Amino acid sequence: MSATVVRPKLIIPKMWVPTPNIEILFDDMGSIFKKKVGALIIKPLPERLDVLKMAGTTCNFFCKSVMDLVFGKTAYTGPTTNICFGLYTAAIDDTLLGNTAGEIVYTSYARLALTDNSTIFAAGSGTSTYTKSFPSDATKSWATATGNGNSPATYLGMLDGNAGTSADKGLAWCTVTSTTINNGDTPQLAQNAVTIVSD
Amino acid sequence: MSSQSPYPNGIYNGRMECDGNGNLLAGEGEHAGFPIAYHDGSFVFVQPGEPSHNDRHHQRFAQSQRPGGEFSDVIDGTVDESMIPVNGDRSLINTDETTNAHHFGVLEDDPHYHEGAQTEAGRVTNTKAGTITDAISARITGHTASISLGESQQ
Repeated sequence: MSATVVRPKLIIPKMWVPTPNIEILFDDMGSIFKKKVGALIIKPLPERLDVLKMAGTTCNFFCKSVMDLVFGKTAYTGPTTNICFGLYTAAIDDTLLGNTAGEIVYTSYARLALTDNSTIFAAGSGTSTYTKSFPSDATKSWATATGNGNSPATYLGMLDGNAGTSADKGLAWCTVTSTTINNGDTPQLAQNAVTIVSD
Repeated sequence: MSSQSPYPNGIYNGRMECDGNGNLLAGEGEHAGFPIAYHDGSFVFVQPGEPSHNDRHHQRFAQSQRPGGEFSDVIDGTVDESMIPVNGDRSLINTDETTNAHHFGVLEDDPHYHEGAQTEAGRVTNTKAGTITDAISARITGHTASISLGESQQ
């Protein structure tokens, strides 16, 4: 009489991640976040990528000034009076200066010059991740257009001056939702619309 | 009699800026900072009591453009009570040739379909998340919860 030893076969499951229907996650989301996630999911791929590519960062001048101030005590007192917000119809980047091409053109356009103080640029929050949002006091308006814009505004640039030359140094930039400016339109920067995160 | 007002008169030519509160300002020269406004093809200094540039010309606030070219506060791809289902099918809201229909329920051929399943909040979703025991990660990480929630390996 023979016996067969049956060796139990170890079953090693593959790395499989359960993927429940996305709705099961929605119960834990707030309504605003739910809307945003839903909006992103249902967009056609090109538009979804456009959203994911939304970006922004501080500019070269900003980084150099802060770094030289901390490491070497090279004086930097910040913008003289105002931080100027410009609208751009073409991509801008870390090299932003006052004469960078692509600034929007519409009759009566002028940069939004906000006094650089702690009322409009209030202290942020956080330690390991510091988050600062502005304008912290109220919504701010650009000049009402008295003629149509040349192209939709797609970028927002922040500079330390309004000379319109390379003397205006870029501080930060970001993308904005494409916005066409027509005659009679007043572009606005909503309260706390801009957030800079440092970690 | 000449005016004693410190406010300048006439046309301003030069770089401009705006203060965020609806005022367009002269941006350079001896009158930098004084309010100006567009008028008949030129920019003129605004006198005390006169409406600001934005007060004169504002018609509407600029709105971002949604895909499809329509201006709306509603984010595309979301559903609220104001939307009317297409042919009575809520899954077809906001769909066109370029977007897929969105199914609000779990289809019966979905592996996670489980009739009558509810969320912890008590809402019937007919959805039950599949679980599978990951014995390897449980051993390595010590996350024994994955064992206790799944089938026993013993």
